[in-house]
Amino acid sequence: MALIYDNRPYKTRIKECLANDFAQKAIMKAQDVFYEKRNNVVGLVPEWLDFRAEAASLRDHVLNNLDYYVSQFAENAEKAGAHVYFADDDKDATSIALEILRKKEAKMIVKSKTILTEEIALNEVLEEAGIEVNETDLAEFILQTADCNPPSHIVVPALHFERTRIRKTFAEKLGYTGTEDPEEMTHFVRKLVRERFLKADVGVNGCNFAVAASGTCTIVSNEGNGRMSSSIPKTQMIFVGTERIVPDFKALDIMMEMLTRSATGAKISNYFSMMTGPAKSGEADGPEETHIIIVDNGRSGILGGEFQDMLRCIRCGACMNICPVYRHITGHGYGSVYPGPMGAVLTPLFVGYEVAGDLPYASTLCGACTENCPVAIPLHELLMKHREIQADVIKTRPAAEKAAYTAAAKVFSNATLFDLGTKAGAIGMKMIANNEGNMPEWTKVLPVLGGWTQAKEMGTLSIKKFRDVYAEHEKKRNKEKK
Amino acid sequence: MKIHFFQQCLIDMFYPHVGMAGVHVLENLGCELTVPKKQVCCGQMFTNSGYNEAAMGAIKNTIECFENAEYVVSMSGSCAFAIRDEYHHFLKDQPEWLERADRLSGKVYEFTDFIVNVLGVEDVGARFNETITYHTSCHVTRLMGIKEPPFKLLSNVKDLTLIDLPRKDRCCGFGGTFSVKNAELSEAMSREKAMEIAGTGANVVVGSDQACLMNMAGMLDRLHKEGVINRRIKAMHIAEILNCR
Amino acid sequence: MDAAKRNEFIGRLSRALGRDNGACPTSVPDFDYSKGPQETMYSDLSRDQIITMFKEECDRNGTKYVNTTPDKLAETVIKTIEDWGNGQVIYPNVPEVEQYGLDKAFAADKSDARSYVQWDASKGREANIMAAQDSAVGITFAIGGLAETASIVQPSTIDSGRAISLLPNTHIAILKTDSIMPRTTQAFEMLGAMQKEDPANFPANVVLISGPSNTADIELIRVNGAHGPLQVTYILVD
Repeated sequence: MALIYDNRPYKTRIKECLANDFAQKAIMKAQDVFYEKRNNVVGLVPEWLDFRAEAASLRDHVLNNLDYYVSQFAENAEKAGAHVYFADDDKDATSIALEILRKKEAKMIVKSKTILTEEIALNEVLEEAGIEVNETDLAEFILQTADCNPPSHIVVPALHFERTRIRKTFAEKLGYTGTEDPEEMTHFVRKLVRERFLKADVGVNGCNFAVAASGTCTIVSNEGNGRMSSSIPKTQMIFVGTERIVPDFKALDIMMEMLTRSATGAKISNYFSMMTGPAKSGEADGPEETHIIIVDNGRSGILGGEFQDMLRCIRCGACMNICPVYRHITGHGYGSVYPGPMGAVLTPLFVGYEVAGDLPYASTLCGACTENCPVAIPLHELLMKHREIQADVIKTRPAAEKAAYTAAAKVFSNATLFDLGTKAGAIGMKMIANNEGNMPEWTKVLPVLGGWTQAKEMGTLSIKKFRDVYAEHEKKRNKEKK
Repeated sequence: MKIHFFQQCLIDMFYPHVGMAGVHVLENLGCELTVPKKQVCCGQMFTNSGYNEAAMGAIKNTIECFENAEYVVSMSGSCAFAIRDEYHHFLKDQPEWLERADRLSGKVYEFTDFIVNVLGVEDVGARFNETITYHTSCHVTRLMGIKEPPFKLLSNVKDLTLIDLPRKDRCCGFGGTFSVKNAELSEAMSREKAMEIAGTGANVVVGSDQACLMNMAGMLDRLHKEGVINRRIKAMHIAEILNCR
Repeated sequence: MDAAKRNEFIGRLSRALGRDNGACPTSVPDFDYSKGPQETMYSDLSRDQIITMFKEECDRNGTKYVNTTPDKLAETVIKTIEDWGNGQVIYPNVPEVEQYGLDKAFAADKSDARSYVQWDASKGREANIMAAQDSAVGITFAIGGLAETASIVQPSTIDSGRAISLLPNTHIAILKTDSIMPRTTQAFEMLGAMQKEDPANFPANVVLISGPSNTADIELIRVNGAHGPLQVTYILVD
């Protein structure tokens, strides 16, 4: 999967997603389940807001000293026996990986879930080079088996697959003959993937948090595939996003806690693995070699700028678990491996406005994402900032849109023009006709005036404006006073 | 108490009776109203789309209309939010206007917040014999942090039955120009909200932001027309309820 | 590590941060953790309350636990193996095995339904991993427990490999009740201190385990036994 997996126009994607009833219902259910679970576990910590404030300032502390901490992490990881590499961008990262795999003469690898490797399109590059890549997270496994179907959620990526479809896919591609019972299908995958874990030359992992003080990489997982791919194969490769650093174990405590509580509403994940270097000499399992690839891929360009707050993100998915827009368009509406509000902020920063400039408009700016974010990223404000930049700074919005907004804004800044321009009698009936006919061009961008969509009713319009009614009231009142 | 009344352009254009309900409620509580004739729009519908430059006229006009007020009471939460919390950002490069905006900011109140927290009134003596449910609009509740006031006021309205709206804090799908840019998406969101409102059994949905109310009413009426909802559910501004005797 | 590449990479970060001369600082102020609530959470609980909390959380997680005493431990372990349906058992090569008399009890166990194999790093990678893979039950000694989440702190060592608690369908973890701490805060404090004191001997792999492996990837329905153990029992030794 590349960062952008669906290049079609935003409107086309949205239309398709709105028509996909199952996916929408699945996401709605997931949101509802996660919402309740998250509120429950957050409710168990009366001091949650203090926690959140501390987590946010901890992330800021790390980002403001990122050069120091990345440097410290790399040094300590190397001291612990790991090989450390620095990758400027996606191509750099994948060629470093390919080089390592070639040296190890690796033919087959197992992977636990990592979005970073999707961001850099690792699987495509490795497969191109003839290396067999096996996703082991159940959801990722399902998507890979279904010919690399894109994820719809960052925590539970295969939500848009109903069990019938999973059974069918398994039957067609893997010769599965069982029922569509989730437990039976899960245990089928367990057995099949277990063989792969035992056979794989290299295990590939992401890293939720990297501890600078010790050079430790950590993985949050429930299924145990993260443990498998970091314990069984002889060689381990870990991809670390540059901003994924925590100073020490104390910080790890706070960040892990924010992540699991916010992501799935669990107090802790089933497994939290801390890996410091390769296996010690004499150990009979664990990696003999650990290769850590630290990936920039646009992050240094965000650092120190007006979007730096976005680098606080810990990829928990809390923003999409509450977003009313994501609820209906699912991850696929965004066309990016980073969906939801965080994706709508992050994706344009990575790939530019030309490709993803529409994403920041996929929000009502209701602020639910910001409120739910465990590291207090002002997501809806950053979405507005993206709009500001496109409208006013680089001026890349369509000329017609700008003209309409400018004209409308003129009318709405002057009482006389406003009065003339919005005479209810003059435009009332046309409004009901969904802005067809000869209404001024500028009215098209405005709610109600701009056509109330075919789906909503407009009540009876008043002939008199409030200002007129009030003037009469005021006259009467003043008379009474006299 | 002397107050300046921010009517909101939407109420001005389409819902004069809502504006008047607000006027009556405030006057009955002893407020002396000034309704600046020059006022039009806070500019939020332009700034939300990123057109801050275009919005300058509307923003500065609003500042001029209200900067000399003691208190500004807004009939719409989202406009109050824009003036109180957002102008600072839009004017950060214009020191003179920034100062004026900052001065204005501290005087701006949303309607229910003003009654409860400034006037100190929780019972306005209203009576409304109906079963209602309440939608807590995002700007008022989440972004301005005004959570209790509307419920305090409603709890003292005689004969009124309030049924809790599940996920009352979830956006109704309006989002200003969002509803035009993403019409179909807005429709899907509004539809879910309307079904939730219908599911409460209430006959009226109440809120303190006329834009959200207009959006929900549009969808409720449509679903009623289509036969999806079996009754006509009205959307009313809380001022209308508080103005009933 | 390629030093030139490293300098270029870190230099880009330093420049983005507007450092003087684009140079990476050699030290930064420590983060002030005192404002967070985590240190004081559950600090007023007694030992008994902490242990009760651990057990209640086990019940919520679907993790089994049994109480025992040092002299009854071997007996309890065998009983637990039996409860989970017997089979081959893999256990670590740590001093506790002899200390609690597990070795003697296993040797004396005459049941045909159970066989025992000990982790032995000297036999090499393949032999040990396959022994774990072929075992129905894996036994480990945890170094700590966390009450809030019913988790255990499980390091791997030469004498107790990762695979023991990972590959068999059943994991039995032995935990001394006096090592149960209130929450992750104390566990990370312990690990941080261990690492700081003796970085060279800090375990290459430490995992916090909170019950059986699970997934909810298909229609959000929870299924135990995704890739790791299907069932977990903590044996709490008073």
